[in-house]
Amino acid sequence: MSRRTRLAAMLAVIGPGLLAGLSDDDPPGITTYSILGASHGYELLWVLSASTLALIVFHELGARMGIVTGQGLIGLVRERYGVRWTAVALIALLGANVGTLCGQFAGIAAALGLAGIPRGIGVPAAAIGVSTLVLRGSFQRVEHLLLALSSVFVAYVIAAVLAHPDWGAAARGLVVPTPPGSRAAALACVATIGTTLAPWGLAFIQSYVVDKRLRVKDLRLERVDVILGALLTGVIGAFVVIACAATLNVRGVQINDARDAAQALKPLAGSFASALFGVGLLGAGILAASVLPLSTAYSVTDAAGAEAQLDDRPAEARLFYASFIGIVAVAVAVVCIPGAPLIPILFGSQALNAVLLIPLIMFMRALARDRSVMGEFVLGRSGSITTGVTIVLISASVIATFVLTVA
Amino acid sequence: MHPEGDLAATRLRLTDLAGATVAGPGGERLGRVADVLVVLSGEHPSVSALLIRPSGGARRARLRVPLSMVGELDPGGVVLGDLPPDGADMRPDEVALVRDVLDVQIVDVDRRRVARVGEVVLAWAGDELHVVAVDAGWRAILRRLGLRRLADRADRDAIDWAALHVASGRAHALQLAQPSAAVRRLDGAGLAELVARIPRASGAELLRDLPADRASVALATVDPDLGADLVEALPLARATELLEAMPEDEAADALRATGDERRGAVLRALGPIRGPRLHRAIGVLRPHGRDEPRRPRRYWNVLRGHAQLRGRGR
Repeated sequence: MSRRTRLAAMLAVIGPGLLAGLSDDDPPGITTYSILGASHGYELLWVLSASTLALIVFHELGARMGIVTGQGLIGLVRERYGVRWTAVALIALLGANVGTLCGQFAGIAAALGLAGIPRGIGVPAAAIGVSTLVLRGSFQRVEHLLLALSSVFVAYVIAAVLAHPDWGAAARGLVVPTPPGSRAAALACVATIGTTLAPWGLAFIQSYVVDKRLRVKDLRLERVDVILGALLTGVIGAFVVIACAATLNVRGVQINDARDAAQALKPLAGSFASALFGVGLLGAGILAASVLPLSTAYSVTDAAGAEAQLDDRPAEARLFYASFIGIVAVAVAVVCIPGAPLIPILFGSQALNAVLLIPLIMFMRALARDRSVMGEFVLGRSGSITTGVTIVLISASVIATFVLTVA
Repeated sequence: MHPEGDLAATRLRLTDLAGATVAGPGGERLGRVADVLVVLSGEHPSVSALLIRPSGGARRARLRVPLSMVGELDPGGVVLGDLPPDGADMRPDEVALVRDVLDVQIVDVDRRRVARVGEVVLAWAGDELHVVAVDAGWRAILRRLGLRRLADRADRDAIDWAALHVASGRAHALQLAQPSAAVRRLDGAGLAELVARIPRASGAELLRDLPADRASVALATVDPDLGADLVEALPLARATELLEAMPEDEAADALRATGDERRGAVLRALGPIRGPRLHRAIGVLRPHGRDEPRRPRRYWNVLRGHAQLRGRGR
């Protein structure tokens, strides 16, 4: 292949991994990484490195399963393990998605709060606006605007450099695993895992690959796509942590609201830091609040088996609409509870993600190891070991944190 | 046989039968029903045997018991009239209903939609136990979740076995080989619609095995991206045969999106007149084939405003 056609082939395949990976740079993700840096400095950066590796492993697996089977994750669980296990998987996914969508709306609320708009007005308005745009098919009008707004978070890379961080400590933190020393640190680790390897990202990448109708021969390029997406999210996440460590942690600032978190952008934006942060939060929040309910609605209809009927059966389309609107309504209601603390919602939802992630990746591993599902693309010995070890490590950190928190 | 209506005394649900205890002729407990095997032939194929998971045996051990050796068969328990020989396994022409049909996607050929099997309904006719229908509605799902009260209020969505096609796997392959297969009743347009909705490999197999006149209409009708995928997935000779029978414009559209290697092979195989003509039709417009980004359908369509989520009604 000439270089030009290779580039073209790459562009044709690219997308799912990049999108799913980048979806971690949403308000809950940025908040979690900010807390990791502000409260614990460079010390726990290795959790982010490890989570990024896990992200590569499981997104590759999701993409491979989508390409080989032509089915979404929940549909495969139903086909292979029946309705009871499907209920387990779907409840885990729904729980995680509701939590994360609460996080998105909490991010929108925090951004609006920076501009002085009360969330009781702003959040329902944003939810109605987003749902209308997506369900009526006018999303494209704002898509580029939202993408541009959320790309503001790339500013963290510059802010981190300008803040003169301790690069040696950062490098050490990235590769040397230091065990978390406190309850709060353990919780930050778990939330970092949960936001990086978000459950909805797993369901999304598989259905998006199916949707894009990628083929087995696209698998090699799709792997590149997955790795790029994961690295990009890991790199941006790392710079968020570094920026916060170099600005907030050194001064002993804890993140209690969006204004605190925004301070990390001060070296770049000065007095405009809050505005820059707010704009990014709003754009990324709305973008994620559009795609996440859509992905959830597809998972629900997939479980019921009606996935492809959306075009022509109003009764089944009702299920799709009900799921979409239902999850949005729950999230809006939670965030609009007067006095509901936004930062704990943003952060806590990601810790919840890590818990609910475990059954989902266990299903993924079991399906991927099943030759009757995957044929020649079945997960081999080294893949089985890698995914198995990852699951054990994540479970161990969740259990340890739970014990620490309760004890 | 009508699939609607209440479950009569002669009917059995697959999920009630699966897991039922199995006793030997003397009442000794042998194991549980692991699966129900059918040989696909005719409109409502009949059950040939049960697959038993012997109690105390290895996890994967299975024993095939022909239906003729079964004395009593109901959800409360299965009693064998005879002991089967050891080591008997399922035959290559048999479909295992739990493994290959239950919870698998199917196509309702008459109503042209995709659904997932929530229940398989069996019915006695004399000594033979037939597969008559599946239930793809909420009732079956809720019932299997143990939510009987909700299930009683939910809708049943019965699809006659004679009108459905399993979308993938072993049941798909064996069904397709049947002269009475439901998909054989579809015209080209119906076939196109179906092929667009099932996994690509299954779709290619339909176009490979069904009559060429309808298959070529279907290939000409699906969108060019899918057409190109099918051209690549089909055996070269069959792809060439179908493209030969297609109108030139549609053939050019499909080939334009096809990968370089397969397109070259098809053009060479197409013969001295059609080949160069198609080559010109494709070449003028875009020499490099699949250069456009592949677009996701569901997310893309919804987010791009091409969504047709609202009921189209038929």
